[in-house]
Amino acid sequence: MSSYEKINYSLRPAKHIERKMMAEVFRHLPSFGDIASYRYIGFGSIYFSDFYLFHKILGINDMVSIEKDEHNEKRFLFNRPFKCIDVKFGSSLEVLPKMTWEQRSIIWLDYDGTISKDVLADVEYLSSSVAMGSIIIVTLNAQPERVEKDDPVDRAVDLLKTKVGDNNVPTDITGHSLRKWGTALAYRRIIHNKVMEAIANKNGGRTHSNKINYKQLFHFNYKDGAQMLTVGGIIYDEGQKQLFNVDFLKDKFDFLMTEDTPYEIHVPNLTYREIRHLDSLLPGDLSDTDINIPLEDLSSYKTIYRYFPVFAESEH
Amino acid sequence: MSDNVIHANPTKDFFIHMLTKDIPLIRAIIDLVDNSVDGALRLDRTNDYSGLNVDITVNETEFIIEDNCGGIPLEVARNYAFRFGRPPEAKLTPNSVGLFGVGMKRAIFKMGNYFEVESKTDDAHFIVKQDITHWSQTDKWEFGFENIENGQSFLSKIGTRIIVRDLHESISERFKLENFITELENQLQAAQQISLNKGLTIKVNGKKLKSQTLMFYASDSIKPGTTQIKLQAYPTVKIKIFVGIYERDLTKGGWYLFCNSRLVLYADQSIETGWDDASNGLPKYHPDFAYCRGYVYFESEDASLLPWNTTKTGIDTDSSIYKAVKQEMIKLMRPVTKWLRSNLAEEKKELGEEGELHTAIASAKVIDIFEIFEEQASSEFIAPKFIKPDTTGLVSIQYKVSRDKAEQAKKSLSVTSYSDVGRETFDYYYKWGIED
Repeated sequence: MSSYEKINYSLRPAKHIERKMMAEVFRHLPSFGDIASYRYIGFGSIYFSDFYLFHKILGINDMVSIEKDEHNEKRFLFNRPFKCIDVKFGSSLEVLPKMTWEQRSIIWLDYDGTISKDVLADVEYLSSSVAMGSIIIVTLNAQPERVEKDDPVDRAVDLLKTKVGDNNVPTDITGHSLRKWGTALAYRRIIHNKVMEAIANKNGGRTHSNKINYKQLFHFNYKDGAQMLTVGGIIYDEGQKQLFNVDFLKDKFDFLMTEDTPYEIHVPNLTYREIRHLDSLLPGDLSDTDINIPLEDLSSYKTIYRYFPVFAESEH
Repeated sequence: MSDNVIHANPTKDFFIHMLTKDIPLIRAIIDLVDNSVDGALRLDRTNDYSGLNVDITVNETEFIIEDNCGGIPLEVARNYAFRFGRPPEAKLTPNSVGLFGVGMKRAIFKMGNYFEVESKTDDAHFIVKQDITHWSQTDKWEFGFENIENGQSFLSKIGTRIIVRDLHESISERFKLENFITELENQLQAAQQISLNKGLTIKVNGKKLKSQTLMFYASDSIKPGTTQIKLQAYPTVKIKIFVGIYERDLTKGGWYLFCNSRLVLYADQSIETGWDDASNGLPKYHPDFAYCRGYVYFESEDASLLPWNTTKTGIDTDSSIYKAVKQEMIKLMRPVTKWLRSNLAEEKKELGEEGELHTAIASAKVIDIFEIFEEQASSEFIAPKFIKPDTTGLVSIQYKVSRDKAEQAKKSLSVTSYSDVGRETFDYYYKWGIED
């Protein structure tokens, strides 16, 4: 069963925050031309939340949703929020190679599950096919593997090697390092290495100014039930390096992460009344509210309040 | 008279190109480690390499390999180590891995344009430094060296240090990738596992390689098969073959072949080792055979007799020694493939993974090929037979229903598999619709 049958995507607050943060960054990438001229490719499922946001906020009107549930075609087509969304049925592994890549694209592969050889194949394919200025993002379930007490120490590493192939797992990763959020860190590294490998292969035949580069923009960790990882960045060529200034973006957005340190999205547990009250104090100092909200939650809320979902209350 | 002469000498550029093109980069690096292993052999330490180290540094600006395995004697350096090809008068190190006289040069030329080879032995300490672009432009096939006085070098102990700089761009780009380093470590580990198991320490960028050993499942009812072969025409070549089963892994099943200490074939599933050979061979490699493992060890003081090709990455299938051994390999492996197909796979069809044979595998011990082997092996692979449950008078009923309905039935009957749903619903109807 796909996870859409169990979760109502549009109520996942951390995901909502992540989406809004990414939209903000996309809006501020003027260097590669008008963002509205980009194509957006994602896994919309039946809720199409990302499509909804990116069309409304960024004006992107060339949109493709890839859907692997081919049996419920009518339902997916019915639920498209806008006419400009094309739904292609099949797995990303099948669909992506059939598409054309001249147009700059934002591709967000928000997988249901964990890392796999197919995920790496998609990453490799995209890294070596997209137009310069394109952005590739991957979201994965990064819950650590369950390991029993009497399993050998590195059983989790063996499981990881089975999932992605021996040569894709750096040799310093141990069962110990995969505990808790270590699995997310390992996945990020594996994906990053695959991108670098793919573009190095492509660069073999290229002169210096045509050499392809990748700069990471996003590295999110959050919990939505399961531990989740999002990693993504922009593909550009050496000749256009000056057009693309990450430092300017880093000053503006503290959640832009270009290295192996993740940005953790904490969603504090607050009531609607508390949210409205805190909003009325922001931007500003929240430390002297005397409602007994834990300081940690206050601090989390202050960091992300602008991206927090807006809830509508109903009478009950 | 001298006008009727056609100059046929090779240009150095052509030579370098031909020399380096038929070997992948990682294999070339493994060859350099082979030289260190041969150095270890010359130190007369046949089974214990503890205390011997090989340190490899790989990054975008340089490649360094440094060992304390004896160094290159000056006479060897002068007359053999830098020649291309092994001159007939050069003595072969007994049981050596290096053979063809190209490993070091080929690796260096493959990687970059500048090299230094420094060696320290008991009675000599010298260094060869060369810019290859420069060298290619002269006609002389020689290198100059300097003797080193005290204090001027990197080597304090006896050993060899090779450094390559001014790396070719494509090499430098690959050395930057973490995935390349991972692949290098994995392949080195596999290729040099015998030396690693004897205690040799190999490090890549400071990280020590783990020794991995070849394993089998063994128990009272499952025994690997083994045989030793002596060939009349080649009395100095020793051959041992082991076959059996281990973890089901499609990419790891097949034949592993060693020549002296070097792994030459890894999980081979091709016709070269007898698979898919209609005339007197094994069947085509198939997922059923993902459990099978065959390990073949060729050992000889005279490495030139061993059936490897010049890149040491494969078998010289024309070798008469190999042809003879291959027959024995196939004979020994046949009971394994037969068992996997007609017993284990059959049991899986009938009983899933709960049958006796699958349970025997799950509860078997894992034995390490180097250690307790002798007690657990027999001359032929042994494993329990699958006895088909008596299905005379039984038929199979098969049909498709909607998933939703099937899930509802599963819940309501409190069973976990669709086949149980089939069984329960049939029994239910039979009881209420027929028996009464």
